[in-house]
Amino acid sequence: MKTNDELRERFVMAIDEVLPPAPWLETRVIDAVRRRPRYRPLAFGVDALAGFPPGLRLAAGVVAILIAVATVSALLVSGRLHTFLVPVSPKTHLQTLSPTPSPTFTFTPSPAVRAANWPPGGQVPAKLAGCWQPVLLQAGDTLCLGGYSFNFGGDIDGNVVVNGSEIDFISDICTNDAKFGFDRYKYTTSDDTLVLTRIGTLNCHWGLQRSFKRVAGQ
Amino acid sequence: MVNTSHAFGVDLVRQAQAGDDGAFAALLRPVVPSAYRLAGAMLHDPHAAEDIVQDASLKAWRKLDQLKAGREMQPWFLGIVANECRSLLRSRWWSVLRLPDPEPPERAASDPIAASADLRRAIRRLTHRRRLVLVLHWYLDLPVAEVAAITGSSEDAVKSELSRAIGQLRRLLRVGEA
Repeated sequence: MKTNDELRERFVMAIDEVLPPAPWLETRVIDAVRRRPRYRPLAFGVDALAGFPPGLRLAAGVVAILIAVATVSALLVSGRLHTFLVPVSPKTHLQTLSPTPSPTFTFTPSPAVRAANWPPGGQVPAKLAGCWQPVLLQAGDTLCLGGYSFNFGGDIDGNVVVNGSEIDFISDICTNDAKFGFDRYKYTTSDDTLVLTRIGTLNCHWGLQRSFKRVAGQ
Repeated sequence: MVNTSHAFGVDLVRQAQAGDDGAFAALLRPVVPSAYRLAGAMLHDPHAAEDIVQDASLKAWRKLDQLKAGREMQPWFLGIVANECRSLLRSRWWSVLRLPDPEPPERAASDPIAASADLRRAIRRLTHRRRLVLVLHWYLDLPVAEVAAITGSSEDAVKSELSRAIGQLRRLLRVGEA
C-alpha cells in the first residue's frame, strides 16, 4: 500500500462491503420516537420533597445523613483494612518507567536510501541513534532513531533527516495536498537526555515535543 | 445578515425540547444516515448498527434538554451513537466467547475480498477511540473540527490520534501480509 489515499479508499470499500444501505431506517427510527412520549426528568433534591409533610421531610433528611455517614465509615474501614492487609513498600515512586521498549517490538532502521523530495539533511548521528523513552507521559511511546528511519510508540514508522540541530520526521501519513509531510523539531542532547522542541507548523501531530531518556543498552 | 437555516434549527430545537415530536423528527431525519454509517463502521454489523441508531434516537429524545442552544444536532447525536457503540462493544466481552481470529486461508495476495477482510480485522484491533476518529474522518468524511466536536477533544488531539490510528493500521496490515 503506497499512499494514505489508497489506504483510505480500501478502508471505505472494506466497510461498504459489510454495510448495506438501509433507506427504511429513518422512517423506522422516527416512528419509534413518536410512539414514545417525551421524557420528563423527575424532580430531585429539596424541591422534590416540597409536597411532603414536614415530619416526613425531617425523617428523609435523617435517613440521608445516616446513609452518608455509613458510606464514609465503610470507605474508611476498607482503606484501613487494605493498608493492614497489603504491605506497602518503603519507598514508592510516582512513576515507573519500563527500562526497555515493548518486547514484541524491535526497531530495524530501513536501508540507507534518501529520497529526492525529502528536506535537506543526513542520517541520524551516533549521539541520537538508538531508542529513547519519554520522561513523562506514556512510558510506551518509545522513540527509536537510526539511519534515515524512526519509529514512535511501535505504531508510527517513518523517515528522518538531521540537519545541524534540526531533525525532520517524515511520513506519507501526514502528507497533505500531495506535498510530502514532515514535522521539524530542534533537538538538544546532554548525557542520556534528548529534548525535542517543535519548529514551525506541525503536519503530523505525533506529540514528539518532549524530553526523552536513552533506553539502557540502546 | 441573519443565518436563517441556523435560526430555523434553533427554533426546531426549542420546539422539540418543548415536546414537539414533529420538530424532533425534522432534526433527526437528516442525521440518521450518518449515524447508521458510523455505527456500521464501528461494529461491522448492519443489524446491530440499526439497533444502535434506534436506541440512540430514543436516548436523544429523552435527553434533548442537554442539547445546548446553538449547538448542531449532528455532532451531538453522533456523539451519542459513538457512546452507544462503545457500550455495546464493552458489554460483548462477557456475552461473546472471544476466540483468536482464525488463520487466514492461503490465497493470492491480490484477492480483493480477502484484502478487505484483512483490513476489517485490522480495524477491529484498533482501540475504540482510534477506530472512531478514523471512521469519522475517513468514512464519514467529516473535517477534523467536527470530529473534535463529536469526540469532545481538541483538533490537535484528533490529528494526533488519526496519525497513530493510521500508523497502527499500516503496521497491522504489514504484519498480516508478512
